[in-house]
Amino acid sequence: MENKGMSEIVKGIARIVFPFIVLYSISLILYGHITPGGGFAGGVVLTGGFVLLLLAFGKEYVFHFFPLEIAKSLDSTGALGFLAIALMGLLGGAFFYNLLPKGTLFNLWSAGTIMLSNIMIGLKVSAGLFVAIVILSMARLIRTKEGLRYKQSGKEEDQ
Amino acid sequence: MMLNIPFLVALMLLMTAGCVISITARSLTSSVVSMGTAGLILSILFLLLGAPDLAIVQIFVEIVTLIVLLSTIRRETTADMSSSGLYGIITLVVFALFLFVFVLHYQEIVRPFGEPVMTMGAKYLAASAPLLKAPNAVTSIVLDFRGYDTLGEATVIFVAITGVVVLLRVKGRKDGK
Repeated sequence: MENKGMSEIVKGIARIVFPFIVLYSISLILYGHITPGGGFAGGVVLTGGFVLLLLAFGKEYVFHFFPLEIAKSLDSTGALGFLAIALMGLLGGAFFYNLLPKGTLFNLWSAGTIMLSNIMIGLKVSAGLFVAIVILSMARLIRTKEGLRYKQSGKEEDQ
Repeated sequence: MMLNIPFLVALMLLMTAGCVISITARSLTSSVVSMGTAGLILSILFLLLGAPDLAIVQIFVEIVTLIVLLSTIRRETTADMSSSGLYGIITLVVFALFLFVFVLHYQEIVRPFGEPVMTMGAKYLAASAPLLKAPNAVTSIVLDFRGYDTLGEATVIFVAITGVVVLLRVKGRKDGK
C-alpha cells in the first residue's frame, strides 16, 4: 500500500486539493439553476476529483471508500431518480411537469424540480464516468502464444 | 397540429416489428437492416410529434450507425452484398425525383433568412425567470422545457457505461478470453 501510486508530493497536493474539488462540484450542482453549471458539469468535476485520487494513491485507496459496486448502483440510482422526477410530473398532468412550488428568484430553494433533477444527473454522471474510467484503466491486453489476450489488472490471475 | 393517431400507432407497430426481427433474425445483415428500419421510423415519429431537430439528429445517427455496422459485419458474413447495376439506376431515379420535387416546392420549404418556422425559443427565454424562477435560462430549458432531450442524453450515458462494463468484463465470458 505504501509504495502504490505516485510520490509523496503528489499525494500531499491531492489530499489538499480533493476537498475543494468536491466542494466546487457540489456548489456547481446545487446552484445549477442560478449560476452557470448544472448536473452534467458538476458531475464531471466530481469525477475529476476521484480520478485525481485514483492517479495519486492507486485504485485500492479509492475503492476503500468508494467501491465499484456502490458506484454502479449510484449510476442506476441517478438514472432512475431522474426518470422518477419526470414521472412525478404526471401527477400534475404531464410528463416533466414542474409541480413543486417555485419559490423566489435567486433563492437556492427555487425553480421547483430543476434542483432535484440536477442532483440526480450529477449523481448519475459522476458515478457513471467514474465506473467507465476505472474499468478502462484496468483493461490490459497481454500478448500470449495464441495472440492478444484481455485481462483486468488487479483481478485474480487465471493463467 | 392535428395528429393522425392510427398512423402513429401503425408506425410504432412497424418499429416494434423491426426491433423484434432484428433480435430474432438469423443472419446479421437482415438484423442490422431491420434495426435501421426501426431507427428511421423513429426519426419520422420525431418529425410528426413536432421535434424536427431531434429528427435530423436521429436520421444522421441512424445512417452512420448503419454504415458502421454493415462495414463491420461485411467481413463476418457470407451473404452476397455486391450490388447490380439495376439498384444503382433505381437509386439515381429516386434521388432525381426527390430533387425535382424539392426544386418545385422550393419557395414553400425554405424560409427566408431570419424568419425561422419555430419561434419557441423566445417564449422559453421570456418564461424562464418570471415563471420558473430560474435565472439560468440554459438549465431551465434543458431540465424543464426540453426535459425529454435530457432524459435521452442521460440514457445515452447510461447505455455507453453499460457497454463499457459489459465489453470489458472478466467473468462470464464464453470464449474465456
